[in-house]
Amino acid sequence: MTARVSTSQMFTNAQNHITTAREREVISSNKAATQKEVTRPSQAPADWTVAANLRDDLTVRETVAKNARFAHSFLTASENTLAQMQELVGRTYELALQASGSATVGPEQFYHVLPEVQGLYDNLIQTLNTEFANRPVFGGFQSHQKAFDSEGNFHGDDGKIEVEIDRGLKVPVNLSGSQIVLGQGLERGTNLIATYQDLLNGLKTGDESLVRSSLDGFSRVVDQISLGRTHIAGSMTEIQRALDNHQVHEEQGKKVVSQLEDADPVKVFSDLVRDQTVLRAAIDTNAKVLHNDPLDALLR
Amino acid sequence: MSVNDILDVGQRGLQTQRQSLSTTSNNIANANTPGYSRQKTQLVNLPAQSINGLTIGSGVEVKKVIRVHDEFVQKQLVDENQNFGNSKIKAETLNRFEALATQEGSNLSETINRFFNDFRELSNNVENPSLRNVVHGSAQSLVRGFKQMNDSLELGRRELDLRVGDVANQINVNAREIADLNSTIVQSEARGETPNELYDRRDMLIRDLAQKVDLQVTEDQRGQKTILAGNAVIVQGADHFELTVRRSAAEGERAAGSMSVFINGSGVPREITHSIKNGELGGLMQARDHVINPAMRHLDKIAYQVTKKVNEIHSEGMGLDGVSNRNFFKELGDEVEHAAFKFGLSDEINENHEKIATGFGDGAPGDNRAALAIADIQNEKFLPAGELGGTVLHSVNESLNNLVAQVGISTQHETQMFEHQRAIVDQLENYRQSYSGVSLEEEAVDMIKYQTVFNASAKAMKVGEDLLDTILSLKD
Repeated sequence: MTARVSTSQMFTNAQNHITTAREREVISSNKAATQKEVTRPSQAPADWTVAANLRDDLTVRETVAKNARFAHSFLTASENTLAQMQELVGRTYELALQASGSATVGPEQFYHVLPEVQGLYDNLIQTLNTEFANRPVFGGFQSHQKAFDSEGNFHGDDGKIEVEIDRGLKVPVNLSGSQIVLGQGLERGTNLIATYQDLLNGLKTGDESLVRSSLDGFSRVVDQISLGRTHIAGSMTEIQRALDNHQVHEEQGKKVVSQLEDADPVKVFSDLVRDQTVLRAAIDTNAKVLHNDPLDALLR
Repeated sequence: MSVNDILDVGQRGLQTQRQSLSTTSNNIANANTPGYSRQKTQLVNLPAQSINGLTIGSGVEVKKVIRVHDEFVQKQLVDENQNFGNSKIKAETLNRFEALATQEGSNLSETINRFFNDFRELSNNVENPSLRNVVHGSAQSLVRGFKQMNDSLELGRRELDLRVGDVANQINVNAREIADLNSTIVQSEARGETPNELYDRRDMLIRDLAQKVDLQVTEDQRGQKTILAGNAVIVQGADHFELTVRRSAAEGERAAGSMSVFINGSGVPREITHSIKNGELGGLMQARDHVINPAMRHLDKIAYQVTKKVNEIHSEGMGLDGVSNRNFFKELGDEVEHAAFKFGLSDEINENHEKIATGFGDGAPGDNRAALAIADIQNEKFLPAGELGGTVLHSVNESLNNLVAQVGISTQHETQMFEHQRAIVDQLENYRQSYSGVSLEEEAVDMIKYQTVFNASAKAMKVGEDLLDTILSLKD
């Protein structure tokens, strides 16, 4: 059975058709203008939440990745310090060996070696006071003063300066002065400063046994320094892994956010064309229907 | 049958067709009048006369002008309009609220990220006054972020409360008019009239009222409508009883100071809030109590937990002056309620950023462990998912995103409900218009139909007159 159609029904239906077509056209044109499929949580709550969490994670990772690069630079400075120390110790060892190994040379030869060893010692103190970003590499948390004074007294502590290199993952970036320089807490640990001072005293006083005994100390110190460099290498690997991880997260995160939120341009524009056509058809059709005046025709 | 009878029948024919033409004309005039039901003249032939054994008809008359109205559709519309009004107001308000919550939530999320990231940067150089300044600034932004989001939610709640009052007033206006119509209709019917326009107007008001509140409509023996809103009588005969709104104490999901609905009966006003579950009035209170209030409580929990967690670490740490036991944020005690509103920096941190604790060791100015630990709070999962409960814990950002997503889920649900209800009501209204609405084509045909018979009746009278003339001329 065909339903009866009232005049107001025709107008209401026309209005509904045009309004619905217009609403769809507006939605499509918004998507085309923003190129976003999801702009509000109600459009896809689960997708929106995942995208929002990912965006937050990416923002945090940006800072953490910056930290990782900072840690890398700090560790590079620490590594350079250790390399420099190793060089100084190596040269000092050579001089000590040279002085103690020659039976023909007497204390007067010591006297010639002494200035260079003294210079190397001064260089060492300077190297031990290396700072990075206003923080002494060997000073622990004691950032207000130099780690070692000219007498070789240690003014730092065992504080580990850590940097967050990945979310929740931290690595120490400084070096323990008490361990690497003073040999504390290590099995057969050697005090580098004391070894130098023994050598200097031996050279000054012509005490050959002191000079000779320092050789053993220097070779153990080289092991201590190598231990420090091993730790740094470990941390560097961890930082590199963290940086790679950030890159993967960044690429994947952005890709997922885009998949969840971005509109497919082909679909958006074809939808827009379709919705515009539907709107035009709705307007044209309803204009034809509504402009047909029945009273005119019937009551002519 | 006399010649006069021919004239009488013709005259009745003319009158009847003229009345029908008036009805048709009235229909055409009201074709666009909302709620109007088309009217039809009910024509009956008059009793026939028996003359000399012959039964001859005596014409036609209009027995009644009836309105074409389907009471079943009216009842269905009243029922469905309650759900429609409810879902419509919820979809409208939640859509606006969602946009606000998304914007404020995104701003707050950014300030949370900035706050913890600035602590991360500070941990790399804890003595740097510029970095301390930056942390101080981002902490102030965080305070503003919580306050702005709380203010927006509070504003949304107040707006809904205001609209509760508005809708209650509209209900009172409708109820008053329906009561007046009850009285006028009874008086009109007593005079033997059929007040179709008044019926239409009353039906339309009832349909409108149904959009605003849960409604039960009954009709008494005199044809007067009795209306119950939320189980309270608001219209009975010619009487109406007004709804009022008042601020009330907290109860269940309702927050303290929210509007409640009362009915002013014969005695003390009686609260009927709990029995209002549908229509715009129910929708406004549901949006307020089941979406905005939980969102505010959720935000309070986040603000409270952030304060507690940061303060726990900060009070153990030391500032550059070597002093510990200071809160970073203002102490909130055990009061979770209104935590987002009270959220603020402690006075000491506010006055001097050197007091920001970054390490745990005494006399260790480069100690960055406290700063790292505070930054680590962002990675911790210590907040519940939200008002839905559940055992899985979330980080600060996740919890805030859940808050906004929860609003989104409610908005999505209510929008879908609204679309569904709109389709039902549109279909019913379409049917009502199809059945009761005026069709101009139909009326045009009716006009031709009545005009034709009118002309024919006039012709019949002319013939009667001619017959009379012929008879009268016989005398000459």
